[in-house]
Amino acid sequence: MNVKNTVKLTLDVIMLLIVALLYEKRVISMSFHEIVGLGVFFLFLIHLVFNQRWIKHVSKRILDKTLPTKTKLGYVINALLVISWALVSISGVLISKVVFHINVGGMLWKTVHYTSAAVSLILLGIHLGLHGPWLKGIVSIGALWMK
Amino acid sequence: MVCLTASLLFGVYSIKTTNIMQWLTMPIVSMVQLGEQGDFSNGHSYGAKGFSQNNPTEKGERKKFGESHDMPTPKSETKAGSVGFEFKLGNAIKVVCSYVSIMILIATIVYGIEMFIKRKRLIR
Repeated sequence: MNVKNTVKLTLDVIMLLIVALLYEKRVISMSFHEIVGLGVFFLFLIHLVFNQRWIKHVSKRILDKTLPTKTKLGYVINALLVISWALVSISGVLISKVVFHINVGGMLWKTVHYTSAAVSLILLGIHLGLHGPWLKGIVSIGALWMK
Repeated sequence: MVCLTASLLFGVYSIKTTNIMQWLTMPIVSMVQLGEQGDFSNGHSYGAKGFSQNNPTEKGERKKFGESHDMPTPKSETKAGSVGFEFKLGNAIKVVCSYVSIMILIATIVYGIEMFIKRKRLIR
């Protein structure tokens, strides 16, 4: 496994663990939920930068009939994931109680926050599933490396 | 394979034992409430009317899972008098395992569907 893949995988695992922790806001503290929630959004941007070649390549060919359906589906899922994460972050800032003290949205933004977070969880699962062969390869390389 | 099976079993166990399903259905419930209320700017706090009164199991869930339910609830007071939450490592690990296993569960279903489609195409 090369250095770039190792860094990417480490970042992904960290993101996964943090995102899972963020789903229960009271498990650590409200400040943690809000600050790390914003922090993970930047990790998410780094994840996009790491995969920018794929994004550029597929964006150019998204209407191309020769592009595999799986790639197109992955692109749509990723786009939905970006939208839902943006909604989670924006609504999170608007209903912030500790960091920003804005709290302008009331119930509407809370509903947006919960709904987009629930959708993100499902989309993340699909995103992981679509990378199944890659993850399987990484796990088997890791198992070989450990031997 | 063993790890995958274990995570799948844990995912199913998490859905059954923790409040994940309640949490996942919360947006739908809150949207229904939002529609019923019509005007949501009249000072009703989120969940105070809907979840706390309409959901008899919530109290039990909180007892089981601490104050971790994902909606505004009366906050616990710390010794210093400030509003805070008690951090428990066990709870944090449980939360991480539960949500990660839910993701793996969905991922496995997607991967299974992909494999099924691939195999079917090969046969045909």
